[in-house]
Amino acid sequence: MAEYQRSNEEGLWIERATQGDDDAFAQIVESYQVPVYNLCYRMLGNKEEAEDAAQESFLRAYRNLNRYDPERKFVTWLLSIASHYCIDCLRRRRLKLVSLDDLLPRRERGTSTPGAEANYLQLENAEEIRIMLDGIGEKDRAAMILRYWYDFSYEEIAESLSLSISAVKSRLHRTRREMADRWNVQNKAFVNGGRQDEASAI
Amino acid sequence: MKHPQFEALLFDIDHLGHEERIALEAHLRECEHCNVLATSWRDLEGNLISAPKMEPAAGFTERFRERLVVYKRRKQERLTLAVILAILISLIIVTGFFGLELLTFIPSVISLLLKSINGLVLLGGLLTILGDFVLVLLEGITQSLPAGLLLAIAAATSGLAVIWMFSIYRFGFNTLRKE
Ligand SMILES: [Zn+2]
Repeated sequence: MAEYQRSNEEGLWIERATQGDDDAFAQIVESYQVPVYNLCYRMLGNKEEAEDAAQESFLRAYRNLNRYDPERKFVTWLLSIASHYCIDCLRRRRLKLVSLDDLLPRRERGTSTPGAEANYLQLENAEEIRIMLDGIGEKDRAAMILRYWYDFSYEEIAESLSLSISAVKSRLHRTRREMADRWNVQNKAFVNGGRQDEASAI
Repeated sequence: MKHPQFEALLFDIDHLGHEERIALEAHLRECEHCNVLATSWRDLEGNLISAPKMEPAAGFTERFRERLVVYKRRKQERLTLAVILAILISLIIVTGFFGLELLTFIPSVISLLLKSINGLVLLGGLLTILGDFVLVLLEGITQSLPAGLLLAIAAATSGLAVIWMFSIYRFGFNTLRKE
């Protein structure tokens, strides 16, 4: 989390915002809109929902600012609020099936674009990443995103998602395994024979 | 070490010790299953890490400010509604507890009101009579006295009134200052 180190300014904004200064809170929103929005986008997979979730996360932070523990990193606290909000959104979404298209296997929708053979190892656009994250449990997805996009430690993930450190480790392991399997199946059509020579790359 | 243990190492390469690393590399040269899994994960992880950071549309903070205004207004509305509801509920509870007593109290309240109205009517009549009497008295005085004398009496009375008010004002002011 080196990217979002607490500055003196941040401490001042938080203090002023806690005393009811809305302009100070707007400064916080301005500073953290990208990490919060990016998290929501990775969790929910589309711009409209991500915008709404990011806005709502900031509003929740605003309402609960007096509960913020200054010993904690502010951005960790903020992203934890956003994670929980997105987890709730995904749970609600799971309960209402939008269309029959949602029942089709992911592979059929995700790949088979022209020229796929040339760069099948590149998950170049957000849509493809979304497909890889799709179908993974809400908390597992949040753990993956916090680990890979925000460089959270196991401890920080555990704190943010109200899990034990061992639970985080086992969830991450299971999810990596699941994603790697899926990735492997997705590309099997293009992979002929073993690729023993690539093992040395690790 | 066995197959599943190597799988566990595979997904935690950043945290491996030197010996675990060597053991894993040796296993990957022999086991095709783990090898395929390892390369798949390596490609996928690389793509996850290098994925671009998504940014919101311009004006995010302004949109937040608007949302905050709406939130505060709704909060105020909810508060008002809660106060009204609390009053209503208290009224219902009070009526429920003291309903019977209130019912027996109502006739006496009505009779009290009627008596009060009667009293007010009587007082009004009395004031009218007093007004008529003062009017007659004034008419008598103005007819029997010359206009010049009347003006002099009026001027003297006004002067006395001014002096009286001024003295009250001074007296009151001094008392306040002493306090
Ligand atoms: Zn193996």
